[in-house]
Amino acid sequence: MSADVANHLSEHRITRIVADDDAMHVSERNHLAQCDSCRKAVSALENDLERLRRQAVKATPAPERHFVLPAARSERHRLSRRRWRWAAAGSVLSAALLAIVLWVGDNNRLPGISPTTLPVAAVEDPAMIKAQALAVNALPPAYLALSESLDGGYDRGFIDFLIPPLDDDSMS
Amino acid sequence: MAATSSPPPHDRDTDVSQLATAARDGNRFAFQQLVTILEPKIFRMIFYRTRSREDAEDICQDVFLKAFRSLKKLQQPERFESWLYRIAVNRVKDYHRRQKFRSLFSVLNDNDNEEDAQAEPPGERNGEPIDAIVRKEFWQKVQTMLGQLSKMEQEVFLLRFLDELGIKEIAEVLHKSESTVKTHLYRALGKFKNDTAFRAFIKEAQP
Ligand SMILES: [Zn+2]
Repeated sequence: MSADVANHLSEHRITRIVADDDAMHVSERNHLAQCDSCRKAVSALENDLERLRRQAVKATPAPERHFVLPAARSERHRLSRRRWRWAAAGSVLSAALLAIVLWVGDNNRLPGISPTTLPVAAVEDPAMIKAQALAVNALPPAYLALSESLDGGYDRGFIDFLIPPLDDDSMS
Repeated sequence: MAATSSPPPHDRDTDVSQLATAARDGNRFAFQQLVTILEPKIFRMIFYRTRSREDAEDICQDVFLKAFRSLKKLQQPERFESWLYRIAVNRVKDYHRRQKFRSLFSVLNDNDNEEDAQAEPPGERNGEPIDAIVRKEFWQKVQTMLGQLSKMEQEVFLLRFLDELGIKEIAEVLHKSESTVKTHLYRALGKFKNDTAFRAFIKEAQP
């Protein structure tokens, strides 16, 4: 071919054309159509990149585990609601017990006895302590959701606490 | 290994967009179909950056789970694939942060492992399947080539030439302007172009 050697595409232009086909000007397209040397330079680079891509695919093992959808939302919610019902029942029960104990204590108080001693005794009641522990330990829904996720391990959570993970939602 | 056959790009993109719309509207089967279509690509994309099958499997699970749980927020289903890549890129960054964090506390362990590796009889390593040796050598060479690139150059190079994303998609995935992506891409490709040793290696490795 007899394209003008002085007008050969620069290395820089060849790189741009291979990186982004849209970056090619009409004059460059015309030059490539005529010039063997530049066409070879472009296709050599393209071929090496294609070889790299194919070899990368070849050098990648097949996954042994595949993604499986978690249980249906309605089922999870039903379980979650049940847990919440128990937690709520625990809280109501403990509040009622506390109210009864305070009321009884108030009515049975003998003259001259400090009013603080009876509630303390009531709080030391094992049933009361258990009911309060249930109420205090009930996790809010956000924590329940976290415990159902795959990445709820202590180690990872601890690291994420120290270095917060990146946000994925900005482009959704 | 031959590249797997796939439907023409336009049809595939339309499928993904329609399935993403259906999945967002609560169709679980549509989401499972999206997984079937995109999981191999996303898994490979993650493996290219972690070089560990098990870690890539974990991260891949994590990416699809995150996508599934955030589907309601997806306003443009036609960008589902870019969004998935974005989640994957971020999860891989998290993974490397964690690796770096752990490495700070495992210097002694590493020394032990190095000693173990040195103590390993040569016969054991010679017994490694040829395929595994070839793969390992390939990724070592890739790593050396990528080592000349900045982090951003590496990312755009991998997304463009190994993951086969367009410049517009890469810009979406990385949350950068197209011109920024191009600048890094041209630099990265220039370095690849001038790495004659690596280019000779990939020519030899595959007829
Ligand atoms: Zn020329």
